[in-house]
Amino acid sequence: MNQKVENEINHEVYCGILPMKDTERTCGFLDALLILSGYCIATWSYTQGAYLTGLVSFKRLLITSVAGALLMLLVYQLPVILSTRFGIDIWIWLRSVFGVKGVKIISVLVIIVNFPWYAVCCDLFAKSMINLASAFGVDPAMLPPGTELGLELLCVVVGTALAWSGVKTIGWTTRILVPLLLTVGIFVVVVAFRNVPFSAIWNYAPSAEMVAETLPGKTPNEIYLLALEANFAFVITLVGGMAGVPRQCKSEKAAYYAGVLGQGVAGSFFVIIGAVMMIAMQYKGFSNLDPNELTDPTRMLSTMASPIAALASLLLVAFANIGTQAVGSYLYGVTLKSSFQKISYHKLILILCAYVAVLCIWGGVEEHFGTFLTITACVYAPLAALLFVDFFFVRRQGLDFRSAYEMKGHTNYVYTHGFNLVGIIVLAIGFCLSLLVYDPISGTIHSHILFKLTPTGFSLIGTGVIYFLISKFPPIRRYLRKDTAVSPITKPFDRYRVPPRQNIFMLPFIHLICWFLTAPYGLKIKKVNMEGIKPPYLVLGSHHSFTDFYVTPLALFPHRANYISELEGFE
Amino acid sequence: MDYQKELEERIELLEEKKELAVRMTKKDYIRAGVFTLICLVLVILGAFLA
Repeated sequence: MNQKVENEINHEVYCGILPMKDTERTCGFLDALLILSGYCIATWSYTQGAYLTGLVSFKRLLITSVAGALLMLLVYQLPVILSTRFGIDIWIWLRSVFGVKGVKIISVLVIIVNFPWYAVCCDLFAKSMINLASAFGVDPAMLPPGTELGLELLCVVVGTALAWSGVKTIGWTTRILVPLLLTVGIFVVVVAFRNVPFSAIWNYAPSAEMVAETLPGKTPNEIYLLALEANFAFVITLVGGMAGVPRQCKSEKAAYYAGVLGQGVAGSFFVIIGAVMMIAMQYKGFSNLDPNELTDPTRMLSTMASPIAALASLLLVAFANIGTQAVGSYLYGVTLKSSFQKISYHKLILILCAYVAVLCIWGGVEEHFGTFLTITACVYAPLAALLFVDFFFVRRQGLDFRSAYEMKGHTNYVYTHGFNLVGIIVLAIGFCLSLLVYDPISGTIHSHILFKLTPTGFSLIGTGVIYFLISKFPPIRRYLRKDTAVSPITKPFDRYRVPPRQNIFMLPFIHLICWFLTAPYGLKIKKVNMEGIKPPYLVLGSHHSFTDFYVTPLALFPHRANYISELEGFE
Repeated sequence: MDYQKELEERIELLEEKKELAVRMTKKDYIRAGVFTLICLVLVILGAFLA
């Protein structure tokens, strides 16, 4: 194979949708962990930590940020194993769930609601830079107009440039960046604990006024559940791009735990750092500052340590935001490539770059941040549930790859003009489920009992259960499983299991029901030469009608029967 | 590069069910379930913390 062809194949594998062979896998557990940690560590982690300090005590914050995040990740990340097993993105699998055209709309929708995160990331990067300039004596008012926007766009452009050459460049960048970021994180915690007594942070609890201002009229347990919900919503945002890295892993376990720990441990560590900084700055009497400034490590380090330490932190935090932008562009570039096969990866990441740039220029994302965060959580939970149930219970880990890749003559995933109506309707129901429990805009709890599961948790469980149950209805099952011939369910029955006997306690009920059903017709059973016959015995009877099923139990009573049937009638 | 041909070859490989990655074992699933339960218990206990 010549070099040019090999390069083209590599491009279609790493920046495209070709199933990845085992020999092309480049990621071990550590590589995947570093890339996904690099994606999760960004200034928004600090913002999340600061938000949580306004709701719950430090101890509850630790529980919700670590155990809460891990709980959600351990469940919703499980289907990433399909990406590792087959070397494909989850969006290829989702063609079977939404249909080959439906998946295009859903993937674009997910990106539209997800990408404001990156505009926030760029905004925080620009603010961090300006804060540092002011720490070195530069008056922000003296900076030329458009400086902030220019810095935001710089973050977008550099991130996209890193994503241009694919995951290998990102891999190398994160190998250097993530350990440095973790070092800065530890340094920030040490500085905070040296300046503020340990007990002040450990025993921290927000004042009643502070909580009432954020969430008026809520009980402490409802506030705890809302803090948990904030963490569920925070970690589930990765669902759309969760398979980009795992498909390059050599082992399913490595891929799964890299996703879980990248966000659940590395990401959560930075949420906690954000909270520690907020508490430390409040303790030092800076509570009148803007929350973004309070959780800016540059600001904190220049206040509590030295401008040099702040400069070091700034450079790393800046790179963290750029790293997030780069990994995000790559993951969602591949997502779009899964839906729009004919457009090149480079064009797609340029489109994503332009979208973030427009959001930065518009500048209204922060103002509508709460609404956008709510919508994202409402979309992601049902999406994760559908993927989980479809992979494990509906399609049982088998896919018709030819139909998924729309090869000529293979149309099992075309469904209704390219749309799987069942998948799309269940997604819409899941979207509504979380809103049925809680209205995040007015802050009203509609169902106090279901709220205990949190809106995201309820939507995840509810969507999964609904999809599973309706997939059991034969007409819907036939619609969903048009691929049965290609990807059969090979183990619907355990063929080696000893058939269980009819439950003896059911015998009187069965007898009674059969008697009632046959009594109107005056059924009479004549037993000839049956004396002394005891089970086990074989009954060979003609099958005249479905009435046989009511007559036979009466004829055999008090003995119980096991009926033999061909499996094709049930498979 | 003939994209369709390359895709065809790779799909054939998948259909042959040749193992492309090391699979999660039953033990791994159980372990993940145990971790999930531990996290669930911690989250429930968190509700009783001050």
